[in-house]
Amino acid sequence: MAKLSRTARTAAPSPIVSAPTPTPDVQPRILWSGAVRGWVSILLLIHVTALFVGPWASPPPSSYLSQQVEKLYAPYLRITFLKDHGYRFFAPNPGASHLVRYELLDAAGNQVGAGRFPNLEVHWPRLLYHRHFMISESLNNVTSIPPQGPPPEAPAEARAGYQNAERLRDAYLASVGRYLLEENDAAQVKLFLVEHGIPHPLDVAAGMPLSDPSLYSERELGVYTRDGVEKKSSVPVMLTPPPVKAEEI
Amino acid sequence: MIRDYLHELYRGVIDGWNRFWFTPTDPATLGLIRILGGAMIFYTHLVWSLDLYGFLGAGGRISHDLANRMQGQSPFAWSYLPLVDGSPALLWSAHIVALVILLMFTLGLYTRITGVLSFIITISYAHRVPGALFGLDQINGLLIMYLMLGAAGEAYSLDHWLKRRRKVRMDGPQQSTVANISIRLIQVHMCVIYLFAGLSKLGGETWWDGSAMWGALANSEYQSLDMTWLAAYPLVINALTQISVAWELTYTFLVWPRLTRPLVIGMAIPLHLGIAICMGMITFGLAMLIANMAFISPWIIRRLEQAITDRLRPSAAEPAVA
Repeated sequence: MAKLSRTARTAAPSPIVSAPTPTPDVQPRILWSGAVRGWVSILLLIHVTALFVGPWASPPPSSYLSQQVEKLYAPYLRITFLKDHGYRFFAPNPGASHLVRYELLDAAGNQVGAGRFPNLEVHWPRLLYHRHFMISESLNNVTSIPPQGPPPEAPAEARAGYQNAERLRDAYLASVGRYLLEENDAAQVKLFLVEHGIPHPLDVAAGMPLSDPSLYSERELGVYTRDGVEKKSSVPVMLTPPPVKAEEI
Repeated sequence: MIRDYLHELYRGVIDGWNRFWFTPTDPATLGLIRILGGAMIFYTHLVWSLDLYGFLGAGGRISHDLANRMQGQSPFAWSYLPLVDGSPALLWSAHIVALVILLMFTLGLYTRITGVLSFIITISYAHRVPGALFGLDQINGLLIMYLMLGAAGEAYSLDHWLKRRRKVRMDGPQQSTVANISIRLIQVHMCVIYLFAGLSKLGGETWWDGSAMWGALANSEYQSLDMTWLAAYPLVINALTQISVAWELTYTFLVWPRLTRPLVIGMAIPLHLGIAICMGMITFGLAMLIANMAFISPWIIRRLEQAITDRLRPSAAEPAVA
C-alpha cells in the first residue's frame, strides 16, 4: 500500500475533517518552481473566472456587464461545455412539466397512429426516459415565445434575437416531426404540447390524484411532413407571454 | 501604515494562493473519484446505445442544423460525431470504441491518454444532442474535465498496479501537485454550482413561502417515489424547502472550515439521495455526491482502504486451523 499521506500521520480532530492548515513540520513542500506556478496561475485565473461568468450571465435576466464579459469568454465556455449552464435547478419556481403528444396521419389526413414522449411504460431505464423528457421540455422552451416580435423601432439586436428564436422553434419542430415520421413510416404528424400542472397540496390531501384530467392542458404545435415542412400556415400562437420557466435539473 | 497593510495583504494572498493550489496531495481522493465518476460517465454513454441513431444519428431527433442553432451556430461547440453519424454502422463503430475508452479510463488503464479521449468523447456527445441534456451531463463534463488533467491514474488504477507488477521504482513522492489542482478545481466548481443554485431560488416566491419542495415532489413526470402524503404535513414541506435553500446558499462558505465541512457534506447525502430516490434522477443525484467527494481528505480514503485490506487479508497472527 502506498504511504499514508501527511494528514494521515497527523492526529486528526475528526474522521471527516481535513487538515487545511497542517503544522509546519508535516506540511509538504511546494515542488513547482515560481515560473511554472505563475503560468499555471494565469490559466487557473482564466478558468475560475469562466466558471463564475457562465451562470452569472445566463440564463436571463442578467446584467449588461455580465453579458459583455460572457461574450468575451464565449469561445472558452463553448469549448469546455460550460456555456449556458446556469445551475438554476428548480428555480425560480418548480413548475408544470411538459410532454409531447403526436398523431400520425396518412397522406389524406386520417389518423393511423399516436404516441407521446416521455413515456415511462416505454422508455427504460430512467436515464433514457429523462432524455426524452428533456426533449419535450426543451421543445416547450423554444416554442414558448411571444406571438408578436419587437416593434420595428426596437433595437436591431432585439429584432434579430426574436427572429433567431422563431427559426429555432421552426427547426426544432421540423426536426422532431421528420424523425417521428421516419420512425413510424407515416406521411404527416400532428404535434401537441401537453402541460401537466402541479396540484395544490390541499387538493391532493383531499384525494385528487396527480393524474387528474383537470391538471392537463394542451396546445397544437402544427402538422409536419417528412421534408420538415409545416402544413399549417403558422404555429398557433400563445395568447399570453410564457411564464418564467424553471430550469430543469 | 497603509503600505505595510498592502504589503501584508499581498503576501497573504500570494502565500494563500500557492498553498491552496500548489501543495501536493495524495491522489487517493482523485483516484476514487475517477473510478466512480468514470463509471457514471460510462453508464451515461452506455444508455445512449438503447436509441443511438434516434438521438445521435444525422436522421435522429436533433438534426445537425437544429444542434447548431441551439448552440448559437458557434464554431466552438465542437463534436466529432457529425463525421460519423450519417451511417448507423459507422456511428455504432465509433460508439463502441468510445465505450471501450471510457471503460479503460474508469479502470485506470493508460489513464493520461484515455482521460483526454474521455473528455473529447463526453463533450462531443453533449454538443451533438443539446436538447436532451440535463444536470447529469453538466456534472459529467465537470468531472471529466478535471480528471483528465493527469493525476487521476496515480491511485487505484490498473496503471498503478501494472507499474508495481513491473517493479517500477515508486519511491518518489507519493504526493501530486496536479492531483491537488484537480481536486481544488472540482471543489471550486461545486461551490459555484451551489452558490448560483441557491441565489437563483431567492427570486422565486415558492422558495420564500416554503411550498417549492411540494412543486418538485408532486411533479409526476419526475416522481419515482410517491411522497404526496406530505400534503398533510405543510410544516414539513416548508422545512424541507427552506433547509435546502439555506444549505445551498451557505455551502460555498461553510464547506471550507474544517469544523463545518462534515456537516455540509453530510447534508449533501440526504439531499441528493432524496433527489435520486424520490425524483427519478438516480444518476444526477449520485453524480453530485461523487463530485462532493472532492471534499473528503485522502487520508480518510487511505484508512478505509487499509481497513478493507485488513479485513480481506487473513491475519498472520490468526492460528492455523488444525
